[in-house]
Amino acid sequence: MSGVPGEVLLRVEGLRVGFGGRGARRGPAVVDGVSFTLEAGRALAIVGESGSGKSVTARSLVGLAGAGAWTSATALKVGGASVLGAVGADGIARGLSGAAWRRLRGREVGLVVQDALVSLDPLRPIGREIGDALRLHTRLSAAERRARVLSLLESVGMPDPASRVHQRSGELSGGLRQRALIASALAASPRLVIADEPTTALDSTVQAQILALLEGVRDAGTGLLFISHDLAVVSRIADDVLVMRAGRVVESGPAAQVLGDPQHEYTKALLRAVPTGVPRGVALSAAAASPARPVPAAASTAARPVPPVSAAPVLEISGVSKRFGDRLAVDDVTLTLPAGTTLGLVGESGSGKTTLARIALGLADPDAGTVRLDGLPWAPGPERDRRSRRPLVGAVYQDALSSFDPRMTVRQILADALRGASAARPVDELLAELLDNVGLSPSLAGARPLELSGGQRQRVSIARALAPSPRVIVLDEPVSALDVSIQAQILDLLDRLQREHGVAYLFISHDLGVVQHMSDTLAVMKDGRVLEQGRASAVFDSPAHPYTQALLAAAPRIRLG
Amino acid sequence: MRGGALRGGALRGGALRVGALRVAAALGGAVFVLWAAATLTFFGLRLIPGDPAQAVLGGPGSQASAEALAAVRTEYGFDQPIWVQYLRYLGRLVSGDLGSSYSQRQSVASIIGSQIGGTLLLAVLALTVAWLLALGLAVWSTRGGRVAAAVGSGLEIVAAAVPHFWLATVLVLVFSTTLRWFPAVSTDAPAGLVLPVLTLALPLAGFLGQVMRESVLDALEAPFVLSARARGEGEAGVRWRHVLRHGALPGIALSGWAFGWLISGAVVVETIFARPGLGRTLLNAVQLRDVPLVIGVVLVVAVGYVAMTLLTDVVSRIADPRLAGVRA
Repeated sequence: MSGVPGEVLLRVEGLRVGFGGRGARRGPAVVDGVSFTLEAGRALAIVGESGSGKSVTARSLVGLAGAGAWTSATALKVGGASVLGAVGADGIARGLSGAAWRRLRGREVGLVVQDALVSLDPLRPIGREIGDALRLHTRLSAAERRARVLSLLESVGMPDPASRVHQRSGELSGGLRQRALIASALAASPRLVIADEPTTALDSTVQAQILALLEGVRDAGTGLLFISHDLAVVSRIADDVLVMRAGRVVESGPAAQVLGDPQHEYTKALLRAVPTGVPRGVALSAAAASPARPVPAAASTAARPVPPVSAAPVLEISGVSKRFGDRLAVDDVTLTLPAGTTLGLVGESGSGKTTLARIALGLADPDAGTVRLDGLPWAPGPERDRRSRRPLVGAVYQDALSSFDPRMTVRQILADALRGASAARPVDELLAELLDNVGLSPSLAGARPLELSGGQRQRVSIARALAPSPRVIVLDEPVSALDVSIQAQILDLLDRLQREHGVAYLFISHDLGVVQHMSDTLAVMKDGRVLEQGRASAVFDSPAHPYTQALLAAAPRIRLG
Repeated sequence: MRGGALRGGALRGGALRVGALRVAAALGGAVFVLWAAATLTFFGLRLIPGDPAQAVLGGPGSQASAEALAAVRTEYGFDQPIWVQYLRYLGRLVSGDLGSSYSQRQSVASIIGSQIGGTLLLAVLALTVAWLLALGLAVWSTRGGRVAAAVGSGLEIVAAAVPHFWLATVLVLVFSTTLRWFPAVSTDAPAGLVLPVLTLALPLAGFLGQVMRESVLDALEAPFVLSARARGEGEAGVRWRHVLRHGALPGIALSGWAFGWLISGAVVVETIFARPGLGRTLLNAVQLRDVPLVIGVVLVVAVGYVAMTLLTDVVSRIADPRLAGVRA
């Protein structure tokens, strides 16, 4: 039931959406004057950072912008019919009636909502969730619905649909949940599918599979509205691109034009922020030099000198294994981290990266093998042997917020980390230097973690790791929860700190692009084993293991044409 | 999922082992609870001043002769040291003998047997009514309006805070004395059950409603509800198919506790509505220092409480498969 090629499925003109208030006192617009059209068989991507208004734009097309939302537009046509409803004297559209919206949702427009991991009811089998759209929009009998659900699951590439159909989302991996969610959006054969960040939080190989699936949907003649913050992902699937910032469209046009020859500074910055293929040491963010601390131009643009991977090892992991129940999480891993360099550890979720990180940090004892720090035994062993050398090892985690005591201020968090550091200088002086180091304004010292943005939080957690002047910092997915542009700033910051302080990084990520940009040496992990390791440039130029090759092929990068 | 068939098999074997251990632990816990209930009651009743022999001979205030008292003491073993009495009593309990009542001169088992039905009927009806009221209120008061939310949470707090004896008095005054809709003395006839059931159910509905409304609100905010709406599900469908079940989960967990709470409420309600049952039997037995009867009732209630807790565990697992633990 896909649309006729060339048929306009979406016509949006001057869309404004805001929240709260009534009449003259209504809240400010978070989507301000957005216009675009989408034809059957084409994919339009809306790109922007969190808070740019892209999700609100998408949801207002089906009347689900949220409680207290107001909408106004010159034209808002979905599937050829206006969804504005009666328009008041103040220009605010009443929208369709509840019943009319419900006829549209699912049947005319399939919406794959953000956050696939929690977007299916955890108490209901996925077959029921998918079948709901059929129950609501078709006259199929229960048996026919069951058959259709199975064929839908088959068509979205769900392995073994007959048994998966009875499972609940908690029993499925992230990639399979996303497939089920897409199947539920496709169930009633809508002519238009809106996918809101459908690849975020997925491993890159799974990401590539989901993109291929959506590509197939588009090629079958469905109109695809694709929402993402990730330009690399967008470049693979979009025919047209719309770049949004703070509720406004800053640039739009065919994908090849917008991504190949960006006109707006913001688009350029977003493109620059994609780390894949950017050589080590080259700044990703436009503002590599934070206002508080200008970096010499030479240092920020020139590639850094050949990394001294021949330096003495600061962390030596040899023959380490760790077992949980009957699962071998880490299987005979041997890695060496030379001082002042970065060892990238890449692998998908469940590959044992985090367990290895905990062993390196001395938080979990290995079942076999040893870890040496600066040439001395580190693990296994009793904690009291490690305690005096704890300051030598720092850690930064993905979820910075939950790694802080929410009641402590930034000042308290850092002062806590500075305890035991050199008593020669007053804490306040060290603290100011730390904040300056990570590019945070001194005025934030009194703020609590909840009051900070994601990027600021990660800066604080880097400052905390840096406080006791460590030799090694273990970074476990430090940028995975951040927007691409913030990610770029944090990566630039880490790079600069390494140059200035000579600290070594064990850099763990599922994102090959990020690891490639950051690493001197590289190890690829799968099912607890290191499949391949060596100089990063060598591994990337000629990957030996098929798995590494597959990872490389799936790494997000800008592709045009 | 990455484990494959082989590991899946090993996991299921492990799950069975874990399951058997869990059942054993639950049974062990239940036995401990029963022993503790019997022991605490046994020694607790000794702390009440008075002579147990007096209780046998017609209770406090009876004019029994010293010879009669001495005979009773020998017959019932009151002249033995207390730990001997305790062990003897425990021995009889283990063999299934609850003993015979001092005051009613018949076996504790037969007294409980004749009284338990009315109390169970009361408790089950009250629990059902409380559930319906709480769910209805939780779902209605989260329809979005601020007024509905305020009214809902206000009603819940007031209901939860009201003591049984006061509520019973008010209900009798309004519906029995003034309106003459229902009798003030309870029988097992439907009309006679209304007021006692409401007395027990309203405060419980308040408690249940508070926890259910919280999780109904959480579920309404959850992405899977947005997902359901995006599929074209209407307001009623969202509530019936998704939210209701999430809302009910904490209520199920609370129902084990609620059962014990209802039995203690039954003591008050059965007394006020002059209704035969375990609660009233317990009250009378305590007043008469009828040790075997008190312990018997306490044990039966403890058994019911333990059984109800195990049952809510099982129901919780069925309603929320995520609790089932290891699943391949």
